[in-house]
Amino acid sequence: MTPLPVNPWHVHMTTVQAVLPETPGVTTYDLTFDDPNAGYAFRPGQFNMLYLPGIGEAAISVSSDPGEAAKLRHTVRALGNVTRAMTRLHPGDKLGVRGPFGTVWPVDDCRGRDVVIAAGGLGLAPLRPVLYHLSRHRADYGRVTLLYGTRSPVDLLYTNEYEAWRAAGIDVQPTVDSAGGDWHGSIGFVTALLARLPLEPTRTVVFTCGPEVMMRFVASEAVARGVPASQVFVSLERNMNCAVGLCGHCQFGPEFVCKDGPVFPFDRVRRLLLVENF
Amino acid sequence: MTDTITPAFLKTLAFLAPATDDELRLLLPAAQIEQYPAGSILFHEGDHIGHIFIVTSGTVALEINGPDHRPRRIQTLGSGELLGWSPVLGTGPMTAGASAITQVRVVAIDAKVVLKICDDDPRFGFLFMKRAAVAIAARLNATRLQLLDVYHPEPRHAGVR
Amino acid sequence: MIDRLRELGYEVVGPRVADGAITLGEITSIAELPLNVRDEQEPGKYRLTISDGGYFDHVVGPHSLKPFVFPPRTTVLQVLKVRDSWEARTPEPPRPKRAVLGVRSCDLHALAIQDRVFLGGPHRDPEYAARREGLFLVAVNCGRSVPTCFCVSMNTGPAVTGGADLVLTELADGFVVQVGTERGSLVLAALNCRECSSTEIADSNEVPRRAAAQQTRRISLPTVHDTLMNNLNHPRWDDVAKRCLSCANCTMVCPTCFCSTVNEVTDLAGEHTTRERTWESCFNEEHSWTGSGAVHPDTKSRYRQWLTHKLATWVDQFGTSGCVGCGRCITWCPVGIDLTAEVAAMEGGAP
Repeated sequence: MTPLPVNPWHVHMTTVQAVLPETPGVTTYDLTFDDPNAGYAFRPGQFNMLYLPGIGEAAISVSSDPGEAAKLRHTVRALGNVTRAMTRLHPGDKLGVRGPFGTVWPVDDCRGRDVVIAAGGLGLAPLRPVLYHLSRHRADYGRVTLLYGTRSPVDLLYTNEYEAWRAAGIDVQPTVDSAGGDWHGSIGFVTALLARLPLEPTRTVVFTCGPEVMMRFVASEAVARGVPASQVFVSLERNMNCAVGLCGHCQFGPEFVCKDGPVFPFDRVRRLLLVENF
Repeated sequence: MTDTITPAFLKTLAFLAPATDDELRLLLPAAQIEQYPAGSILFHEGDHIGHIFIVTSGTVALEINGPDHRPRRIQTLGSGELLGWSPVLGTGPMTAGASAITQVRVVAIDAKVVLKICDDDPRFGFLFMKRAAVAIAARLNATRLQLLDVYHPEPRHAGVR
Repeated sequence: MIDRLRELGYEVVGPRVADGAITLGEITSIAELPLNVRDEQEPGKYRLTISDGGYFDHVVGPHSLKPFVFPPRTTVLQVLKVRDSWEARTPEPPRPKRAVLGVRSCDLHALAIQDRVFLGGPHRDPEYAARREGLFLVAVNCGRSVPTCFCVSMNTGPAVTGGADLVLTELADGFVVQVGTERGSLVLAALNCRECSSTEIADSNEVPRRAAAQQTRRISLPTVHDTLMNNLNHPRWDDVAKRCLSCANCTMVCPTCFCSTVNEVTDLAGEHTTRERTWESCFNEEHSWTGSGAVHPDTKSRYRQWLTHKLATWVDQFGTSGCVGCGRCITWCPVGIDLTAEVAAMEGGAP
């Protein structure tokens, strides 16, 4: 377990190295820590509270390579006050980072297994650290497949990395809800890709992240195919404020998503996910 | 590449995986393998065709002529999936066209033969139609999820934060 | 005793009549206590009347111990612009010494519940810890219950069984004092007391028994968790949503509610900003706001969140119920929603 920050309010100051537009409305920020002894490290699945003094904080999953913690990357959709203000950042500007927080994708526990990563929309960002990890340790795992769905081809994230992932032995299958004439790939929801994927269910682990409705259906499809619900992992999103399980905003039934999650085994949250507006 | 179909081979196709050996033996005479090169058309929207297809390899795109009178790809299908049920349901012309995005191999099953077997053998008929219903329901559910447009939700109220 | 506590450096807080209610505020003498004042409480109703019941003929008012350990507003981070960057500092928490007079058993249990929340997890709240240490508690055994009390069924009273420095029981001619802690005995040592007679002890044991016998409301503690969690789609939620105003009164008067929010408070020049933690309520829409809208977009889902947390998921999180049966939420609800009745309505399952 990554040790918790001693003072949960401690902010690391970072410098923006690059601002990379990804897809419409989505930007990746490359950050480095100002303090060379910051000692920051994260594991795939965790998130930081990104802090713009004077404006506020936003909870954003880490989407960089866990093996290179000094180079922090966050992929962010501009949606609220803080994330919209972030789009005005330039290289050289400062950004506060508080974290890391939350539970992790269990990449260590699933060594030797087949891994299916099912991502939707911006949900690929919290899973990218897993893809880097699996690429680096490819021999430790069985079949590795990435199923990735977005609304349309322009919304596909990280397309320039698919070749490298394929070269590392990962089967990358993108799909879109709708497309124009110049798309020659799959058209359909990501669950359709999962339905078609040959599986050995008991030795398969599924990591899924995206809109909650998508994760529900992906998880249900996996379970219907015989993957144990305890081997399907979802990453939930709730309103994170303190990030340490004290402010109460992020509660989902008995779970504090910031500290009992955001990554959960599906069998733990399955029942409550089906209750409307819970 | 052999074009002989065996019951074991049919069983590898997701649509027919739950079929019994007896059903598969009855279907064999009506089934043949067909191959379509990339870019070719399997059938057009509005065609009356006499076969149902099960994709064995490659990707097939379903197309409907859209508001601009040009074919619009709405969904792609892959290995094991049922393509075209109108001939078997007797519901008339194809409601979408199908084109091969990559090279495609299908098992084409003669619809008239299948319907005759269904008539002669009600048990077979029931099982076959049940399987078709399940495949169509799954297709409906998958299509609904496409329609939901889940990746770009409109927030329920104007942004507060 | 009040004088002795002040001598020891404590700010003494006690019940007194203010704004038509019995609230907690600083007192300097016994004369400020609400002698012969009684409170009448019903769902959505509170008023004071005259009685001959002594200094503590009232039960709990809208205030609890919560604001003394979990202040409604506090600064958690101060951030200063330094050259081209920012420097963030966590302020040293204040360490007030405060003695509270007249604390009831329900509120002592509520404080123990908040101890688990703020001190029992992987992140201890340093401000809570500092304020908690300086809190001297003089408890009082309740001599009566109001109709909204249900501490008996929650196993949280009315007799005080621990958690206070000194425990008082008011008799007709004086107070029986029990020592709870070393700190308490040091204060008592300076006072003019004598040993109780056995009659006086018997009389003092009778006081909370009298209060217990008056309670009519109850919650079935062994079954309430499952009753709520197995009925998340019960039509009763729609029913209570029609009555609930989402006004958040219940969460403010509740002695265990701990939700907060941390907001940025900045100066105009942009040189200095603070992050302030304030109380928050799950009845506010912003509470569950995410990028795709509020997870709890309507009163129904917010009321359900509050009640299932208070009586059910709290147990999963902290090992005890979040409710101490103080009845404040029932009294101070403007439309008189009674959570014991809401639970009872769902006990039979869906109709």
